[in-house]
Amino acid sequence: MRRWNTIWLFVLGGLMAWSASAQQNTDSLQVLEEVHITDTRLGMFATGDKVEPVSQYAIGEMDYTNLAELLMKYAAINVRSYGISGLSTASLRGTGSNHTAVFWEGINLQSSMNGSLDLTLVPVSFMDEVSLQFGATGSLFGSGTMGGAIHLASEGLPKSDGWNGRFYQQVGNFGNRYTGLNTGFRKERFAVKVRGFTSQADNNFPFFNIYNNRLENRQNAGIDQQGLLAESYFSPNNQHDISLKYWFQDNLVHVPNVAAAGGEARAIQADVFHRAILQWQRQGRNDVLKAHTAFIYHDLIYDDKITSPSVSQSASWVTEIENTYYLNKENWLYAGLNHTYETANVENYGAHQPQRNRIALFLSYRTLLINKLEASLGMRETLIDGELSPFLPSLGLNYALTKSWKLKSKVARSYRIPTFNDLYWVGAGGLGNRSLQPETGWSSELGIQASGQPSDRLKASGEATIFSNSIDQWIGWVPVTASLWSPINVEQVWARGAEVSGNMQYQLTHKLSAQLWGNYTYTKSTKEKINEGGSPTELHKQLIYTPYHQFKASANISYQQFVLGYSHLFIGDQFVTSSNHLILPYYNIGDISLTYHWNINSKHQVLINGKLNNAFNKDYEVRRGYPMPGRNYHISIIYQFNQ
Amino acid sequence: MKKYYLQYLLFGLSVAFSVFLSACSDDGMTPEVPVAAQDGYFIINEGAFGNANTTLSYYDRLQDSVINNIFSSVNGRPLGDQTQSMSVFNDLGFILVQNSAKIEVINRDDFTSVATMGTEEGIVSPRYFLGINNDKAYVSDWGMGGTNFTVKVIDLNTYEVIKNIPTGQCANKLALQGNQVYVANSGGYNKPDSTVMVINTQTDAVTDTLVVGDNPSSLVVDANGNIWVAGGGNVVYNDDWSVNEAESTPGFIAKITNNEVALKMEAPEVSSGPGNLVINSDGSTLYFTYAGGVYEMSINDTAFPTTPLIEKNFYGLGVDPLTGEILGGEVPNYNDNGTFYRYTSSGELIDSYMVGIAPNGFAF
Repeated sequence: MRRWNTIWLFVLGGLMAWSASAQQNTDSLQVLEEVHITDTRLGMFATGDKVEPVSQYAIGEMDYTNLAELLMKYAAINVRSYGISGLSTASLRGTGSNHTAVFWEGINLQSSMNGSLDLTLVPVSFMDEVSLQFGATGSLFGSGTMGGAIHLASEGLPKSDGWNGRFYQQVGNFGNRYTGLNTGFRKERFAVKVRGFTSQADNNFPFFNIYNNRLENRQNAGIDQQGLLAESYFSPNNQHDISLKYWFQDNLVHVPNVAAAGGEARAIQADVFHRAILQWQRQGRNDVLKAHTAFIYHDLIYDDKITSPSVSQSASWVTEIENTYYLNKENWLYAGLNHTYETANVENYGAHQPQRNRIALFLSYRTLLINKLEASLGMRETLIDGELSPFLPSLGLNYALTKSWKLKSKVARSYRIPTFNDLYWVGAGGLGNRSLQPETGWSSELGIQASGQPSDRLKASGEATIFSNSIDQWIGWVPVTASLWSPINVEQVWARGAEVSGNMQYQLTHKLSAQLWGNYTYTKSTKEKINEGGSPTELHKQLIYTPYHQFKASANISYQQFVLGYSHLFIGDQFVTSSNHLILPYYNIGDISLTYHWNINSKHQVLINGKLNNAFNKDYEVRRGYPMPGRNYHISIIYQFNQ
Repeated sequence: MKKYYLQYLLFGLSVAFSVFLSACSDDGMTPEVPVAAQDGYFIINEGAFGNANTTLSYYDRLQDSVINNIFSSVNGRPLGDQTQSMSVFNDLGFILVQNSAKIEVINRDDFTSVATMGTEEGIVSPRYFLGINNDKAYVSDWGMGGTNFTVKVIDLNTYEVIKNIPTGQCANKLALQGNQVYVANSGGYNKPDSTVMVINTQTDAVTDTLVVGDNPSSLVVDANGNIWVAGGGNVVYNDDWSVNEAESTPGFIAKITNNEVALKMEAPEVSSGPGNLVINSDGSTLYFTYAGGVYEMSINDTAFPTTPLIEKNFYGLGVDPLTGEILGGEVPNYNDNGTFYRYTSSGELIDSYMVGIAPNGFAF
């Protein structure tokens, strides 16, 4: 598969050389359109990338849930979950759970200890924009972005002077409740916004336990969360913007047993984290300079109530400075420098407290090669504790066939550095491996995108993409002796497939409108090479918990003050074992929602929403032994002013 | 352009939808339905703890083939989470599914379920089963969260626990000799044990506690009525989890005669103790796993064997009582199916077969 990626790189490179030689003057820049996200990197230099924002409708529908549920229902991504309120991670394009990085305000939130982020611990109400970036994006965003990235932005700036606010109250079955308060204030060049929430769920839903052949209630599956997000903005003049954001959250998650287990589950996990970021931006005449520094601290306690609790702390400090130069109408240059310091204090690292310093230099150049063909060339080089890590080039092309049809392509190299657990774990039966190599990969894709407004009443867009993504030196834990497990660079994985998505908005009358969104993904992700120490029987087998087929759709109709919505989720059969002999069966889940917008006056509004989840009352598991609730109801009421 | 636009989009959506529909249709997978057991034995696939993927396989000697997943294909439900062991007694199979806190009782010949003993019947964390007589069996059990180690006396007519006999730390394998049951207290949960307990089967009471060596885990009875015990030794770690050689004790093979330790052979390496002690059907030859190999010993030997009979790292070990073949279960990892190997009694490979996840033992 690497061969294909290389060939594709040559094809793209050749195409670029040809078009550069055929370059002609043009004043048309119509093909350069901005993705509505504040990060210039994603908006300006991800040419050829497939970037899909989660709709504001979906974010509104899921405001009192977490990112895992939002993405599971409304995004073309594979969410792997240990059930409702359980550990949830995301995978894009057939990669592993730590190959899709999650960025908040441009800061990578992947844990230095295990390489992933629990999406259940991200409240949707704290995020104003959620976007998925598909395919490797290492040249722009660094390690761990082999399948793609999830970008989160908290941009709750009030639009006009004065106060605004929003109050949420939600209740649902199985002890589910959520109370949230957002309030903002703006006066001229100063703005502040504070959001807080408290949320609990018992998740003691009844389910038919196929392992015990009887009806049971899920036990020890509750969650209790409190969080605060404060943002402040200041622009001393038209050139400068300064912002400070602070996010604190306290989570207590009860960890249920696998449904096949007997006895009482008592394990709990407490996650407390602090995340702060200071941003500064200067708008020059021909450039935009951005700098930020962020501090992240995470404290995790896992207590199985049998042995003594295991406690770990991790901290990272990320500083980045980047500049976007506007050279002329057709050429942009982007350069950045990132310093990341990570450390962790974990009982199972023995006396060793790992520390890691990473300094990365990244450059991107975006140009209009000929009329309608734009290209973006990126590169990144990182020094990790003085050692050079793999060089990451990328090339993206965007060709406007017509005003509404676009061809896109990208080839990029990516990598992921080993986690602290992989490197430094010491314990009975398991030992980290300090000589692990980073995982490296190539990803390439070709897509066609269409968007347009065939009539005044209809807006539609669609995108179809084929992709190929290889990851070499994939890190896995394997038994190295009779009683010792260690991670090694065990295999090579080839993920490939196709994605189709569509979006439609139809305004029938001024009172009646409809929105439709859908996507289908086919993913084949197989192990193509097994190195020594791995299991040869897994060769050419599909990765576990990676469905071949996934289909998600949502539709909603607005009539006057009412919005009726339906969302559907189909996840195909998934393999549970690496040798592909055990299957988690497919499931089809539908949710229905009805919202009433009550406009008290132009300033004050009340939104009342009723929701029927799993409307067809299907029994299903998202992971073997992790059942999901049957039909359940949620009611929420939102009061807002000056929004 | 405009008028074709919608058509393209609708075409795209209909393609996507038809693919979606075809994906929903049944892909024609049918479970393997085994024939009734004539002549064979069971392979216990432990599965990965917490992943609900433990299964039972069956090896048919006449067909020379393995049928996987027999419990769920016959009984229509998954076996559970983490099967520790299985024993065949009185034409019934007793499957001890430890993390599911249950014992599944099946018919030996057609694999159909006879009974399920769970928490309500007094089962908590079952390890090994030993049939005593038509009415009674013993089961070692670790209790909730490894806090209450017992041998449970089971009434085989009602399938209920009728008595709990407290044991040492982590009561493991059991062996019957006359009217005495020997219990290996294998240590665990950060606490070693070094004893083998003796229970009188008539009174269901502990009559003796023999200090044998650190962490005895498996035991068998030989042709002369002696009890052979394999122990892992006690591995003590330094703060950085390297092995503290000075404070650790080596594993061992010991012989108990008349409730006295008559012989004790220490393993040369600390931290890689012998385990999986099994014996052939005439009670003359012992086999065990040690340091990534299978070792053989005569019951007349008095020294720890120096070279392995089979150089392969097995998780589960057995001896076919009918043919004397040595059987091994290999675990590549806990995500992947394991492999079951058959060897002649002199250690030559006969064949290998794919089985379920983590084959940890055999039941005959």
